[in-house]
Amino acid sequence: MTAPLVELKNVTMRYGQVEVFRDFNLQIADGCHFALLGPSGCGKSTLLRLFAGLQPPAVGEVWVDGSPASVAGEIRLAPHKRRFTMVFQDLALWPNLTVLQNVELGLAGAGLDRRERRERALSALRACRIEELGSRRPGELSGGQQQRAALARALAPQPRALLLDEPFSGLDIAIKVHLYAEITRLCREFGVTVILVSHDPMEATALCSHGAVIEHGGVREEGRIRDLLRAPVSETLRAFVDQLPQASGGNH
Amino acid sequence: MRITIESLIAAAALAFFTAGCNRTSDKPAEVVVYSSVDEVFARPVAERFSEDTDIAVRLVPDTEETKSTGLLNRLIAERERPQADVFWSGDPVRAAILKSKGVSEPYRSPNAAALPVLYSDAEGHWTGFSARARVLIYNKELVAEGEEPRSVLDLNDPRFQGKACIANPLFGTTSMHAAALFQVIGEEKARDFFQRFIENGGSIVSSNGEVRRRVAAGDFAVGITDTDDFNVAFQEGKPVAAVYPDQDGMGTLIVPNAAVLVRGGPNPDGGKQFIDYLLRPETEKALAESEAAQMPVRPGVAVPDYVQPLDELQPMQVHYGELADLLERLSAGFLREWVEASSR
Amino acid sequence: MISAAVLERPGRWRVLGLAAGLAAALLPGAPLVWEVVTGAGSASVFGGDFALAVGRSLIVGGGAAILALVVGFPTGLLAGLYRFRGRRVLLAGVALPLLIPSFLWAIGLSMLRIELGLPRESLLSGATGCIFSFAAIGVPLVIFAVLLAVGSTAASNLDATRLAGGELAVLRYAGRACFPAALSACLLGGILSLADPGPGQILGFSGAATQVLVSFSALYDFELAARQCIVVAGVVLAAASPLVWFTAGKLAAGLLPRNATPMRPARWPAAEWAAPLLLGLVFALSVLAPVAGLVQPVLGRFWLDRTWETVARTGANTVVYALLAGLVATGLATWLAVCAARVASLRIAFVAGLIVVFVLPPALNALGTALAASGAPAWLDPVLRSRLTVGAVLGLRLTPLAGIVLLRAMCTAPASWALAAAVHGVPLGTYCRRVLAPFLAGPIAISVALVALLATADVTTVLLLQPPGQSSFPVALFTVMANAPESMVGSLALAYVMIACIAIAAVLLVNILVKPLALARGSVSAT
Repeated sequence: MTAPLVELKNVTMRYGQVEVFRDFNLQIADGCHFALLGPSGCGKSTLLRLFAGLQPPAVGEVWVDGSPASVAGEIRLAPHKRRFTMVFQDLALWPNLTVLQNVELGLAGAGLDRRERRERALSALRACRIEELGSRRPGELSGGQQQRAALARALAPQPRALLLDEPFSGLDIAIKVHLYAEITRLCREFGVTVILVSHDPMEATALCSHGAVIEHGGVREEGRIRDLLRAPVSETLRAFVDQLPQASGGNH
Repeated sequence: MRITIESLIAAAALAFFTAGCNRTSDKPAEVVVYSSVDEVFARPVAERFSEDTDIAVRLVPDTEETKSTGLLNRLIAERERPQADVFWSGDPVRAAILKSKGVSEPYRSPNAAALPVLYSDAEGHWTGFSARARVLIYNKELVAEGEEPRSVLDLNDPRFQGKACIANPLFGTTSMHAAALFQVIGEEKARDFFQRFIENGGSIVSSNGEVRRRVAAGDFAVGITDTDDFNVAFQEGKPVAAVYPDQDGMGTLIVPNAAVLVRGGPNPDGGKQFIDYLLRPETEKALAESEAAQMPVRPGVAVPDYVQPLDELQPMQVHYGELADLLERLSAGFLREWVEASSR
Repeated sequence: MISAAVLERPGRWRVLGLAAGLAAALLPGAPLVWEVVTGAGSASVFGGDFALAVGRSLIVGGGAAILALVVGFPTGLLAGLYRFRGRRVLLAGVALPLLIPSFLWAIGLSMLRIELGLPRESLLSGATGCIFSFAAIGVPLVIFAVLLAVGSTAASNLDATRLAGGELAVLRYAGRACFPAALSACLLGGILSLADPGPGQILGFSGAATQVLVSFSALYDFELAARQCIVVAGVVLAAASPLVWFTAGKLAAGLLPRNATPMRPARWPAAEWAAPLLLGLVFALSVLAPVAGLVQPVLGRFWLDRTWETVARTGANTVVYALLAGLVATGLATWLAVCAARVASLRIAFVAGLIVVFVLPPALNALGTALAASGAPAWLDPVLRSRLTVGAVLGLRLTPLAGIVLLRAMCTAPASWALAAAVHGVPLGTYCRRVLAPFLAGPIAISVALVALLATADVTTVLLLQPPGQSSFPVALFTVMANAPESMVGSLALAYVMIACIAIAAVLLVNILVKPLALARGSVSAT
């Protein structure tokens, strides 16, 4: 049996005196687009940081590809060696660099020479359909263009997993829907597993096949999203499902 | 154009490079002179020395405006490996302090032979030359004719109630004057003088220059300052006049310059040459003719009309060598307490 | 490879780095402090009136700080939030007092009092005169701190407030957001007064700085002076600790990563007359009045030759000292800000450390360095006895000003930038060079300029540490002012003020040059 792409084993996380999780366990299989759902402040983004190796767990272990990557208080496998990339909530585009430079610098850990880096960056821009924006700075782009630039930077190193930390907040619905389709296409094209963090089940259904709902410091429910929506247990999904008939009921 | 980090680093590197290039290193024909004499008087002398001898002078002037820590502190701090060859002091007390701190080196210049021994250290640590005097300065618009002060003690006269000022007696020539009063009229009378000065509404200002400014501006009617300070106001046409005090009593305090050879300075020969130059009659004459209007202490040097010949004055009978010790005691004791009490 | 994520994680290096950086800032005075530790001095620090003098100094420092806050805070708010005619020129004008040695302002104030025919015991003399004199420096500090703080307020927040409650609500909201920055600036301004004896000497006020000056210059007792400095630092730190706690927390909390477009000055009819009026008043009181007193004698004669000779002899040194000071202070402050920005307790330690650095008088640092240089071998002279030394010692003392600017800047850098770099395997060095440093270039330039301006006004450090013959313009002015004709002093003072104007114009130019970067930075991403 193949090892999970990433696995949390009895993880406890604290911020100062506040305990976010205790004895938290979760497995995400390779190739399985996975959504972590939950209300704001439940610790979803912290989970992504644990996967990425940006933060070690206070207690417990994070395993990547069947090996311990972080153990209590210590990061054993550096973030860039995990071959995960991330689109941050604020996108974290480096503001003084052009889009092309952002993508090129994002390839710093890929072990490519200058020419290869340039080619790879340009092809990522093409894939994300923003090749004509390469010479612009992030501040000169619209919200949707910035999302694509961040996506290009994240996909250019050809990661195994793309961690998405609520990257669609602040975008209008038309752009969102368009981006969902683009990301699905790109991840298929690049063979990347998506791990999405969101409070919006609609995003999860659009991008992921599986998911877990985090509530009250633990996994409230987990499985195929389709199944979860059919019989929701968590407050997050129940609230979402409850409003669906109203929305489709033509209240407007 | 935008500021880039590369340009900032380049600017930093350039600044460090230029700053690190110390132009003072290893130049033979150069003498370093620290001077407590105001730059406006010291620099012309230093420049003429350079012209006459081809020895460059690096002058570090101080001021008697006591608003910051001065060069004497620097000399003391640099004692182990001095940068200065000569200290040209505006008064003998600072020179004596350097002697007591082990900063000075005895040197008897051949040009000192004609100078009165009264104004020099017996062991040759400092040699006095061109002198200033402590004078009473008064504003002619505020002091009626016949009412002029005649004695330092007149500052406590009721006619100058609330109208007299002196510089802070912890600093500069005023401190020397205070010590001289204690030495000449005795501790009890001197304390009484200072006590009564405050009772009479007298004020302490920051420096002799400030005494001159405030009296000239009419903020005070009378004060004590140095002849060079007075002369500046006089030359500018301010309504001021000066009185050499106590000519029929204890005499006027004479404040000679003092040349000090710094122990272990980088160029002792150059230092000695500079001291020799200072002690020439020509330098005394030049200082007399300058706006400093200093009185030559060497007999027989011709002076302009506006300079008072020293031999026509009754000087205060002071033992200059002992003033430093006395001042040290007074500064830590009576004078400090007095200044604090009066500034409350 | 060191990961860029290290910049966002806690770690022991932060504590060690902060401690080492603060120790470096305190290094110049260390030889004298060492004398206290090893000396057997018996004179009590609290002998005489020292305790009372410290108390008086605290009152004057507090008074100057409060006055600077009361005047500078509303002025800075209006100037930051609104557009009006002559904004740049007026702001440049009120920066002038930063460049001028404090004693010159005090002399100007003293002359002004006489011109106005006010009695000697008036508001313009003694403790109140000192408060005015020091507030002349504190007010521009507060104004510029508030300007910087307003500049990093989110446009959307201001617009929301504007919609909800109009301009008065905007003023209240921006006021709350900028108050910690204003408070820290006025605190630094107040502290500056504790270490400077100049105005007190002229205006007839005896405070702690006067006592330290007496110990140095009348008693020649370095050890006593050093002990007094340590006591003053301790007392000030204790007195300021509630403010340190408040500002260190709020300063960063108000600035933590915020991905919003920064505000741009708006139009408001009331501000179009109120802001220029306030700035004009500040300019008139803190610049025109003292300068008028100083340059009035020039009407009789302008000493062009002498002024030109002095500028030619000292101009280059003045610039080198000022630039070096700016670079040293900013370099060290950047390091300290990197160490402290992300940890609340370290931010408090940072601000407390800066206060200690600032409260120590320049004489302690300068004489400490002179003492160290005197005991060191000659081959260290390029480091300990050069123009580099002067600039470095000046810069180390002014690190607190740079520190506040850089701490703010570091706090506004989103953590996600470094984390993204870590995920992508961007080495720490590359990240710092390509992302962090360009982001900080604006604040760095402002910090270098601010420190350079203030360093220019220093007299003590240059007097005590200059390589022989390498004087600066203010020192040259200082050393002629006692006995030179008033018209000559006035000529030099006027020339200095004019050069200061040029320097400020240059700073304005820097501001304009770094603007494109600030704009690029400002609109980094959508919320």
